[in-house]
Amino acid sequence: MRDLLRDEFFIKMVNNPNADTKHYWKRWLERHPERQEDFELAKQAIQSIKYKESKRLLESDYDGIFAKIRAFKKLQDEKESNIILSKKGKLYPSMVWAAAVILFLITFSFSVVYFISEKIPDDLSLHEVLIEKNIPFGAKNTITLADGSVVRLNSGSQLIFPKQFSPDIRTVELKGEAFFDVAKDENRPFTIKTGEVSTQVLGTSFNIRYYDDEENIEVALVSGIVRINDNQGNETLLKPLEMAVYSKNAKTIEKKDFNARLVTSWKDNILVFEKASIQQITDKLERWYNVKIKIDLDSPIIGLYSGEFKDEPLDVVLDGIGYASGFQYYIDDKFVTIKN
Amino acid sequence: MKSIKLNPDLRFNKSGFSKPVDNSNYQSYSEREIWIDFKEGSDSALSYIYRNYANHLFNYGCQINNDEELVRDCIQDLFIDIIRNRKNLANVNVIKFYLFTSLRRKILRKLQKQRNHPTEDINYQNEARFEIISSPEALMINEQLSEEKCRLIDFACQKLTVKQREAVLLYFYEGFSYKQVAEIMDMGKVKSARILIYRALDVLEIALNKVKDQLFLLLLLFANSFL
Repeated sequence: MRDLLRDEFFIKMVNNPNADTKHYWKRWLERHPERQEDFELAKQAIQSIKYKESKRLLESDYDGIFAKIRAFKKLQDEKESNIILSKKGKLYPSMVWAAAVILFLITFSFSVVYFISEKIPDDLSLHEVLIEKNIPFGAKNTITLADGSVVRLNSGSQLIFPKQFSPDIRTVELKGEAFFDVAKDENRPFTIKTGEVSTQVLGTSFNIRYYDDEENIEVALVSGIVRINDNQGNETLLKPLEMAVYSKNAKTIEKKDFNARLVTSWKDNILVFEKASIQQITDKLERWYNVKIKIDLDSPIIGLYSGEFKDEPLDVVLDGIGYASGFQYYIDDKFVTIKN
Repeated sequence: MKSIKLNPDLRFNKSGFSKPVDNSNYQSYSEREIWIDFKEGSDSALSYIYRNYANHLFNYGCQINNDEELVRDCIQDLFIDIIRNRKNLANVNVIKFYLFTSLRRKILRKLQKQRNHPTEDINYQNEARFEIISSPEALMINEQLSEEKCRLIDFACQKLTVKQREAVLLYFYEGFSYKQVAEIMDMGKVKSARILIYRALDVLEIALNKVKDQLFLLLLLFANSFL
């Protein structure tokens, strides 16, 4: 029983079950049927344990403390807005100073390997050591850059960055999708190159996407400020909650609103679909789980599907979508077939 | 931002990772995103954090020290600190972990000031801290674990030191990992937390094996009565 009690993942299954833990421990029991009794006993022991004297705040204290906290926050907010007002006249002071999350979504329909190989030497001094990080499909990874900036890389992505940034500029090159948490350094702007488009920030968080097989470049800003330049010399400034869509064919940038949840949730392992077609769903799943999905339907599925999955294995996701959309599926290792 | 209605009757949820009870748009957000929202000044993120964790913090604080007023002050100070410093706060994935760590430090520091005691003394001098009870009511399933069995676990828990009990409650009840327990209890190394919890679990295991033997005996008796 010792092994179970000591296992953090077992405790997680008891306290906070999700599809992953349930799936894992169901399999575990199948493999160790003789441990059924231990399993139940350990589970119940964990559930039975609690504080002998559990205390709660009195309702009046609960409300009183919260009122004080909120009053303090209001004061603090007013103080901060005054600081921002007094600095007006400089370029976007409030935005520069605000802690920011920038979201940046980029999609290409053409192969852009050419741009990467050609552009890096231009923008990064040659003596700097460049590191190339590749994330395979089905995986995600987080890396910390030399200046303290943190990058969360999505499946099938590549980031090229210098081991040390030069003293006056920070530049990285991305292919795929990433969420950046850029360390603030006003003297050294941070530039992300994605093919023909580059995005410059001073110290914010943002997301970049650059898959060969997709059509547009999209830059979506949650808060803060971001400047986007294309190689024609056009410059676009984005305000929070605006998204820039760059068409590689037309070479134009169009601004529009966007759904932050839909665009940023991947970095927290949440798979979101919003009115997605079966083709859009399978494209996303292939990359997310590193599988190949074959659609083998007698009659096409016309409906659009919306849904959300956090940390779920592929079969749970397919069960959910399949139930809603009315299809069956078969998984054979890395190959999935979708049938009516 | 949408404002959230306060709900003081929030269930004292065992896992502590419960999502808000209301239908605010935070339901689908990760704690990391909520924390980032909070850092950017969102009122509803503050509401979320307070509503979900104020009572957990109060309970935990009272286990460290039973001066309820001191614990309330520390909770208020803790929130005021994070509001004041919100822009410089590191990103966190588990808000409760951050809050527990900060609250424990705050309470110990305050006690130290008050009484001029070295920290460890205050924390573990009184045996009546972090008392554990094994209760069949807490079980969600039809209780195979009868009162008798809970009493065996209870009895085993009484053999644990205050420090072990705190670690066991943080690990079993609050759902923290070894690493988080080590940081909350300021133990430096994860290994120390593991060793501390392993020892406590060994004591529990002995009790559970007794329960198992009893179940077996019961089964034998039952079988015999049919022979």
